[in-house]
Amino acid sequence: MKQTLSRGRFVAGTAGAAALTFGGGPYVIAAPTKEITIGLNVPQSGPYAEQGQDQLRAYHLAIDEINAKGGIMGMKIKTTEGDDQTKAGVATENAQRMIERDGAVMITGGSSTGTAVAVSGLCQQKKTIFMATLTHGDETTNQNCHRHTFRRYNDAYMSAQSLAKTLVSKYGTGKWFHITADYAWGHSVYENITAVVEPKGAKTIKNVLTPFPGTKDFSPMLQQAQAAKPDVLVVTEFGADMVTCINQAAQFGLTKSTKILVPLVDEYMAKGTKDNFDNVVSTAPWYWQYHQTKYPGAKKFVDAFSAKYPGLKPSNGAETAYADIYIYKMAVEKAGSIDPAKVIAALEGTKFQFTKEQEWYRKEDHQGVNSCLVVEGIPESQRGPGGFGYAKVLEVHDGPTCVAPVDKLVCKMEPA
Amino acid sequence: MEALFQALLGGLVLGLIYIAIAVGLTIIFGTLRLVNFAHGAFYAIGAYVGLVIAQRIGVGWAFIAAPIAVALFAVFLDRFVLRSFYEKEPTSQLLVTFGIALVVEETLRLIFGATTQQYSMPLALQGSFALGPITYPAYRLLFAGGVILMLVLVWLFIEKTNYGLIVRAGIRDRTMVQLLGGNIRQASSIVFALGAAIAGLVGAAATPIYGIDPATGFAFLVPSFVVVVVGGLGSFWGAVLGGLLIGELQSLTNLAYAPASQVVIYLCMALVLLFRPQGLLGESEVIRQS
Amino acid sequence: MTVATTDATPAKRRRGGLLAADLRFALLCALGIALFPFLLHPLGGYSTLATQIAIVSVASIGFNLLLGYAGTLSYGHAMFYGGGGYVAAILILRTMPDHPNLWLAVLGATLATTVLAVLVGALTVRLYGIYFALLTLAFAQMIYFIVEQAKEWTNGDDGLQSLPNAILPLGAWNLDLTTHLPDFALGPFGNLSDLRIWYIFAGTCLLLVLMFARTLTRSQFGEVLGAIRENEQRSTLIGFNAAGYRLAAFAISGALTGFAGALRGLFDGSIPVDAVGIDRSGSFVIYTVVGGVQTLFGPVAGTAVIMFLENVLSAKTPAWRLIEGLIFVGVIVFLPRGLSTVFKQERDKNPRAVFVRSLRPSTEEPDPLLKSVEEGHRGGVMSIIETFKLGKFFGHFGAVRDVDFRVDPGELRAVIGPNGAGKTTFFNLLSGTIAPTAGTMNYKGRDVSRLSGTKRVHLGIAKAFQTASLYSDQTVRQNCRLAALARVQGPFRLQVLRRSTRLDDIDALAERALSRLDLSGVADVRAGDLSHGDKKRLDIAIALATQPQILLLDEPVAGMSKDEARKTEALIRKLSTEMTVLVIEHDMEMVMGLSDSITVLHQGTVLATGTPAEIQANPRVQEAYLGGHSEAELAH
Repeated sequence: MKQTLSRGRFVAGTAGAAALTFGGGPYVIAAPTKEITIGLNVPQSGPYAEQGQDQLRAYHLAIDEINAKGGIMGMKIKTTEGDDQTKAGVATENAQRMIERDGAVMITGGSSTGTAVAVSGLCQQKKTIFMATLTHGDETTNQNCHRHTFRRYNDAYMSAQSLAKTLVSKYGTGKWFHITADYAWGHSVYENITAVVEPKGAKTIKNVLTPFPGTKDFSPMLQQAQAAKPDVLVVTEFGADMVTCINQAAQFGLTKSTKILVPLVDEYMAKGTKDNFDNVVSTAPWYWQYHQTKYPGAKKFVDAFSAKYPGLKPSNGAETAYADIYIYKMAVEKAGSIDPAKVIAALEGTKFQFTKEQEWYRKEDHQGVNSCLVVEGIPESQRGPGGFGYAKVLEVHDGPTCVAPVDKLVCKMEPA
Repeated sequence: MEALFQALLGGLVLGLIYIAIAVGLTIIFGTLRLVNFAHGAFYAIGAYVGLVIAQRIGVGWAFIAAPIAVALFAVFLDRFVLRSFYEKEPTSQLLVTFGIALVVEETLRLIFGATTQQYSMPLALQGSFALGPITYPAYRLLFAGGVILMLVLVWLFIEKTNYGLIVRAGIRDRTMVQLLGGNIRQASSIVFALGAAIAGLVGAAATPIYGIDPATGFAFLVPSFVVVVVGGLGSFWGAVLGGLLIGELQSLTNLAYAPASQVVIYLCMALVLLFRPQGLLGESEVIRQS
Repeated sequence: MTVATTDATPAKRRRGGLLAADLRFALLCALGIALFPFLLHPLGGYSTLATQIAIVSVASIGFNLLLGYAGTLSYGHAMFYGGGGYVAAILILRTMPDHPNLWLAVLGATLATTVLAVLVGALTVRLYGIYFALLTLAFAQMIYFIVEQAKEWTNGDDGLQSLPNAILPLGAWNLDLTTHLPDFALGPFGNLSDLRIWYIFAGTCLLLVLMFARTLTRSQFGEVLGAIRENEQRSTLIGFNAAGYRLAAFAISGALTGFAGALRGLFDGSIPVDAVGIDRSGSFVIYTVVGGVQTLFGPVAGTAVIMFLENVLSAKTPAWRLIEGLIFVGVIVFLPRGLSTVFKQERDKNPRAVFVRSLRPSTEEPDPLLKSVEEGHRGGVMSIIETFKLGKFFGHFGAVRDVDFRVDPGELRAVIGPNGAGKTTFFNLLSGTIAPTAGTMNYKGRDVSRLSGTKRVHLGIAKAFQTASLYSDQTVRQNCRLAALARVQGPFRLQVLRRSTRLDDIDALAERALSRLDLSGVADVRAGDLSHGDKKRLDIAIALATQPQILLLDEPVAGMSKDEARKTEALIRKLSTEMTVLVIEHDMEMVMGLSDSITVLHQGTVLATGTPAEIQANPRVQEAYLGGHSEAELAH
C-alpha cells in the first residue's frame, strides 16, 4: 500500500542516513599498545548540568596535557562522553555503551549519589574501574561500596564532622531547621549532621523534605522555616536546586535573619546565588583561591585551566575530575598495566599528591582520605572577576580527622 | 498557624499559574476542539523570551515581548502545522501536540542550555510585605494581582465582545455558528493566539519566582491538564475553580508531607475522571460509553 | 460481483495456503532477528543494544495492540514495563537470591502486570480518548510514587542494582543466559562471540510474540476489536461489548509490556526508577508512531530505529532528542492522508475479504432469519414492547414524557410526529442508547429499563440509524458478517487464536440479510463507496443480521429517490411479516399505506395511537401538525 511504503521508506531512509553520518567503521576495542579509552559519564542536563560541564573541561585539560607528553605508558587517551541526565537508568546505559561499544577501560564522572551507585554496580559487573567524582553521599563507599569503585571526593560524614567542629562552638545549642532534598544524598547529609550536633545540644525543630528532582518552588518549605524562626537553617540542596532555594530564601528575608548552612557548595552554586551567598557557611573539598597559595600543584592546575578556558576558574568538581585522571595514570604506571586487578592494588594505599596535600585511598572502602574545608560566603563585590572567589576559609580539617572510622563501616567489598 | 496561612497564600500563587495555563487550554479546546499538549511550550517560550529581554533591555519590555513572541509562534503553528488536526479525534491531536512540545523543549535546551535560569526583579519590587504575622515577598503578591487582572480581562473578552460571543457559541455548537455566518475560523485563530499569549505572559512573569529551564513548560502543563479535567473541559470558571483547588491542594500537601505533593494531584484527577468525568463545572458530554 | 467456487476442496487448499503464509512469516521474522545484531555492528551498534531492542520491541508490540488495533492511547504504559521489571527483580532478590529462576521471575512479573492491567482497565475503559490517556497517566504516576516511597522493597530513587544473573532451567540443564556464543569472526559484522545466549532467548520471545500478535489481529477477537475501533456506536448496537473488548486488549497489552519489562530488568541486572516514569511511557508512543501503528513490524522497526539513534546520536550530539522529536512530528504530519485516516484504515489487509465463502444455493436449510418469528409467536399474544410512563429529561427539557406505549408481535407500527416531537429520543430509549430518567420499559414481559443497548440487541431489539452508521472501510458483506458474528458469539468472546471464518452460520446469516435488502449485488463493494440509498439499506441489513425480533427503523427512506423509497418500503413490508417493525417516518403516503398502526408523538408525549384511518381522522393530530395550539388544548 502506498502509505506503508512511504512510511517504511521514510523510516529506513532515516536509519540509513544516520548510519552513513554516524556509523563509519566498527568501533574496535583499542589495541593495548596504541590507545586506551576513558568514559566520561557526566550530567549535561538537569539540575547539576553546570557541574557536569566543568568536569568535562577539567577532564579534557588533564587528558590533553597527558597526551601531549606521550599518554599513559605510551598509550594515547581517547574519550567517549555521555550525558547521564542525573538519572540512574541513563547513567548505567551510558556506562554500558562506553564499555561494550567504545571499549572504555575506565569510567569516571558523576552527578549524584544515585547515579554513582548505579554506575558503580555496573562497573563491578563489567570489571571496569570507576573513579567517581561528584558523589557526596556516604553509600558510594559504604553501603554500596564495590571493589572497582574509588571515590576521592569528601563524603557526607566528613562534611558534617567538619561543619560541626567549626560551628558547634558558636551555634551548638541553638534551634536548627532543615530543608533536605528527598533522596539518598539528602538523607545521608541530614543524618550525619544531626548525629554530630544533637549530642552537643542542638535542637532539630523540623526536617522538611523537598521532592527530588523537580522542585521549582521552595517557598512552602521556606515559609515553614520562616515561621519557625530557627537559629540555623540547613539547606541540603545541590546544584541548581540550591541556587533556586537560596535565592527564594532571600525573597523571604531568611538570608538576613538566619544563619544558613549549605553542606556542600561549589563555585557555580555560589555564583548563581550571588549576594545571597554572603555569610552562608558551607564545606568544599577544594577551593582554588585557597589551595593555589598553598600547593604548587594546585597553582599549576588553576593557571592551566584559566589559560585554556579564559575567564574561568576551576570549581571543586573540576579539580577532582582533573586529579582523577592523573591518579589513574599514576596507578597504571605503578601497576605496569591497565589490568583492573593490578590497578586496584596500586590505588589502594598508595599516597599521592597532585592538587592538594598528600592523600590516599583507604583499602577498606576506597574512600579518599583528604582534607575538608569549612568556608563562609563573602559579598559579591569582593569576589573578583567572574565571581569565582566566593568565600573565605574558616577552617581546614585534615582527612584522617574527619573521615568515618573503619570500624563503623558496613562496607563489604567483593574479594579481589 | 502561620505556616498554614503561608501555605494557602502559596497555593493561591501556584493556582493562578495553573489557572492561566488552563484557561488558555480550555478556550482553545472550546473553539478549536483541539487538545493541546504543546501548551506548556507556550509558557516556556514566553519565559525564555522574557528572560532574554529582561536581561538585555528591561523587565517592562519583557512583559510586552513575551506574549507577542508566543502569539506569533502560535499563529505559525495554527497556519502551517495544526490546520489538519482540528476536529480530528483527540488521540491524533494529543500525539502531534506532544511531538511539538518535545521539539520545542529540545530546541530551547540547545539554545539556552539545561540549567535553571532566572532574572531578578527591579530593586523596588524585591522586598517583602508584612501581612499580619508573616512576611510575604512583594513580587509574588504583585504577580498574583497581575494574573487576576489578566483573567478578568480575558473573561470580559469572552463575555462582552463579539469575538467572545462567537467563542461561547462555538463551544456550544460549532456548526451552527458557521451556518449563521459567524467567522469562526478567524475567531478560532485569535483565540488560539490569545490562549498562547496568556501562557507566554505568565511564563515571563513567573520566571523571577520559579526560574526557567527547558523542562518547566511540561512541568506546569501536566497539572494544568489536571486542572482542566477537574474543572471541566471547555469551562472558564471550571478552570478557575480547578486551578484554585489544585494549587491549594498541592501547597497544603507540601506542608503535610512534601513527597506526596505531586501524586496528590493525580489522585484528584483520577477521582474526578472516575466519578464525574465531565469535571466539576463541565458540560455533560458523551465521554462515557453507554 | 465475483463469487468464489462452490465446492469444499478449495477451502482446504485455502486453509493450507494460510498455514504456508504463517510459516513464511515466521521464517522471515526468524531470519531478520537472527541477522539483526550482525547488521547492527558495522553501523556502530553492539550486542547489548541489539538484545535491548529485541526486548523493548515486545513491549512496543504490546503497546501497539492498544493504540493501533484497539485505537486507544495510553500514556501510562510505564507502570507495566517498570512494574514488571520491579516485580521480577523483587521476586529474585527476596525469594530466590541463590538460585534465580528466570521462568518464575518472568512469569510472576507477567501475572502481576496482567492483574494490574485488569484492575486499572476496569476503571478506565469506559472513558474515551484524552480522558482515558490522562487517567492512565494518573495511575502510572501513582505507581511511580509508590515505587519511590516503598524504599524497603524498591530502593526508592536509586533503583534496584546488581541483580544476580537469572538462570533458565531447561530440563536437566541450567542455562546461564550471560554465556557468550563461541568465537567466530564475521569480518565487518563483528564476531559471533559478541552475542550472548540472552539474545537468542530474547529473539525467540520476540518471534513468538510477533506470531501471537499476527494471529491475534486476524482472529475473531481481533476482528471485533477492529470493528469497535472503526465504529464503536455501530459495534455496540449490533451487540458487541465494547468496554469488555477494550479491557481485554488493555490486559493483553499490559501483560506483554510487563513481560518485556521483566526481561529487560533481568538482562540489565538493574531496574532504574525511570522505568516507571513518564518519559518511559512517552517513549512507547514515539516508537510505535514512528514505526507505524496498526502494523506488525511497525513497533519493532520504530523501536529499533529510535533506540539505535538514541544510542549512537546521544554520544555525538546534544541535539539527539530534538532529532527524535522532529522525526516523530514529521511522521505524524506528513503522512499523505493525516493521522486519523491511518487509525481508521484497515492496514493489515484482511485475507477474509479475499476468501469469499460459497453461497449455498439450495433451499433445504431453514431460513436462519425466520428463527426469530417462531420464537416470537411461541408465547401467545403478549406485547413485545410495553412502556409505562417512560420519560427522558435533559435538565429541565423533557424530550420524552409520560409515554405509555405498547406494540404487539408482528405489527408494523409507524411512529410519527412533527419535528422535535421526541421520536428519535424515544427510539434511543427503546434501543438502550440512552437511559430513561423516569418510567419503565418491558420487553416480552421483562423489565429492561436499565439494560444496556448491547444486551438488548442480544434479546432481539435491533436498530437502524437515521444517519447510516457503517464500517465504511469494510465491504458490504463484512458489515453484515460482523453483525452476524455478534449474534453468534455473544457480546464478548476471548477467541484470540482462531478466525471467525470457521463459524459457518455467520456467512449464512449475513448472506440472508443482504439478499433481504437486495444488496447481494454490491456485497463486495466498500461500504463507504455506496450510494446514499444503499447505505441506508445496508444499515437495515446490519440490524437484520443480528436476528432481531423487533426492528427499529429511524427514517429508513430519508434522502432516497421516490423509486428507491418505494422499493425499500416493499422490502420493509416483507420483513414485517416475519418480525415486529417500528418505523419513524415523515413520508405520510408511505406511513398510511405501509403500517398496521400508527403512534403519533407530540412534544414528547403520545398524542394518539390507532389505525391509519383513525389517525387521519383525528382532529388533534391534524392540529398538532398544523401547529398553533397550546399544549393544554391538545392534552387528553
